[in-house]
Amino acid sequence: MTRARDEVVRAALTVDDHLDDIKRAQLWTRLEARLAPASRSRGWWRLVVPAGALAAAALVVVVVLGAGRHPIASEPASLAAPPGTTLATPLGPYARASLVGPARLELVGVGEATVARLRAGTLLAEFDGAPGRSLRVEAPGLAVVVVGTLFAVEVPDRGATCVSVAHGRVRVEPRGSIAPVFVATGERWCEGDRAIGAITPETAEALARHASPQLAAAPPAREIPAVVPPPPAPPPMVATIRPAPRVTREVSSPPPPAPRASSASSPTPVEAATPPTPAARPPAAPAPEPPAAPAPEPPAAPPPAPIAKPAPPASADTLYATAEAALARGNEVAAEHALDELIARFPASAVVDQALYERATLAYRRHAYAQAQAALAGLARVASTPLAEPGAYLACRIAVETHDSSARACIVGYRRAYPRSPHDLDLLGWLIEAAVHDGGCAAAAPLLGELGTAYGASKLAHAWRARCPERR
Amino acid sequence: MIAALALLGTVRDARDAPRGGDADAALVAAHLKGDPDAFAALYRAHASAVYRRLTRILGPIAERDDLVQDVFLALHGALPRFRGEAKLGTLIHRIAINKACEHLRRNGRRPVALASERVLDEIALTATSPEHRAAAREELERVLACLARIKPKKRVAYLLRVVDGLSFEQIGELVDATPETVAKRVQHGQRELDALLVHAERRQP
Repeated sequence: MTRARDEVVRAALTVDDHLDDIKRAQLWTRLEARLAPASRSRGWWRLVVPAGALAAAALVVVVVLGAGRHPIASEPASLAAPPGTTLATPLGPYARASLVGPARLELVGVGEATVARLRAGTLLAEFDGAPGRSLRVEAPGLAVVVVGTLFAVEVPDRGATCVSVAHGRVRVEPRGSIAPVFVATGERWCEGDRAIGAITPETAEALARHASPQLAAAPPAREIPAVVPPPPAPPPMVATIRPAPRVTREVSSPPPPAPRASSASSPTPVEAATPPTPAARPPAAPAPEPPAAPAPEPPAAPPPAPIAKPAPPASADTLYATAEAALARGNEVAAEHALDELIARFPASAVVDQALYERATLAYRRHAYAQAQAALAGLARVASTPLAEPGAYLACRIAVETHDSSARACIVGYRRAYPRSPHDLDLLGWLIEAAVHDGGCAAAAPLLGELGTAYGASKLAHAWRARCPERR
Repeated sequence: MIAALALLGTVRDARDAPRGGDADAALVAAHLKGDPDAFAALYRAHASAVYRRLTRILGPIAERDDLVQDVFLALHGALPRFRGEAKLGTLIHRIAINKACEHLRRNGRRPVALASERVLDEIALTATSPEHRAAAREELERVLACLARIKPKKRVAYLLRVVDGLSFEQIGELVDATPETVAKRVQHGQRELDALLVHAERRQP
């Protein structure tokens, strides 16, 4: 029994213990963002101390005035929206949020990796994603990791926390569960749900309003300057309070929304204008139409018959999700098509580096080396991507496998650029093999020495001690 | 060249090989002198091992990603005080084990499912028939649920022994305890797990 029990335990705890290159790189990006403030704080404490009292007093205190109410002071570093109001505020440097009251939000960290904690109410947010940026929203029962999207998190007084996505895709990490849930364009998922459902018309409309500054600003707004929490967030935090938009299902009145404010961050007009219109969903909200016709009056022609709406134009996120889904089904051709489309149409997208790397890996697997190299060349042009290192490694492997004369230089360059990489031993082994091939064990002596010093206990070192015993 | 290619394909297991302390020491020194790339290199060298260590204690849970970051944040804070008495790898594994224990304490002793559906299926896949597969899955879930109820120190000692095959001395170095204490913890962990399994079996319809 003991042995069988131990076997089961061993199997369960070792089957998924490998950290792959992409995940390692992604974790580094998040870690680097968390390390930056830590490093800064070590040297800056002397400057910070005199300002400490001021800073403490200056922690976000948003005083919200409801209609005919007295001011309500929120907790430090938190935002509160009373019933009947919506609080518009930046959420870190790359997200614009609306807090629909009654709601309470705490900002845990602001910067490249912004973390917010939604205690109650509804948060509507639009995040402008890019490599190295992240937004995490923690709510009772789950956490939402955002790459770049228009989404909502709702924490009702009673009941489950829900996540809705109007555009893009978020990763939801339910508390106490292992498997994340991915919620994509037009979808909604609540804590405890067994399946993902369609976004509700009310939430879709609220998000559309949030994404459209003109619409959102329609009611008279009053701005209350809030204090900026810890420094790295460049834009000052200004909370704008306005009465909550009344969500109705009237079809007649809502004016067409203006183009999304964040179009600068959206690489193509198609992506920028994508309205939250879930495809193939039950009767959707009277979602605002894209701003193709800026004229206030509708065209004179009669409206078209209520035929099924075409699928919304694909965004970079949806294309990446399509590729992932195709890969999960084992359909590499479909995955490559989706990735190619993403790379061609959204070259500045936040996920383009992942797409390029995946594209290179897929091509490499089927020995389409030229395609792989083209994708890797594209990856090399992406500024500061954490996938640069795995991409460089793959480039070297291709150089080796295609007998390219640059293989050795590639490996040497890679090892110099990325010391202590997890691939270092592989590549050191190749260099030794090549050196022995050219000039015998003597030619490989320095490399064998390095192998013994850095990886003396490895199987490779043992193997080389046997092959080149004179160099022990 | 062909041999080299073959080698590239076969040395993957060697990635897990223990690394020499000299390279680590040089990187630590460079980091403390302000080299911005040195800590990234330390991360590259040890991230996989940290991830593996956490998985082998906590199971394939989603929180591993955050915990890996926590480990390296703690390492970043600890490096200025690192005098090199122990290997850097040992320090990192100690931090990882501490973080894992903190996580276990934070989550209490509630029977959290450790493995994802995919992982459970993957393990049960070796069973020959659908019936055997279902039985293997059930058995696995039962063992994991029982494991979750063992106190962190005993659980860690037991898992380091059973999953990683470490000696009592090696475990003692990682958890800062004598080999005798470790032996007791392992023994108690095994006993508790057996008792919990028997209990769970009896409660089965």
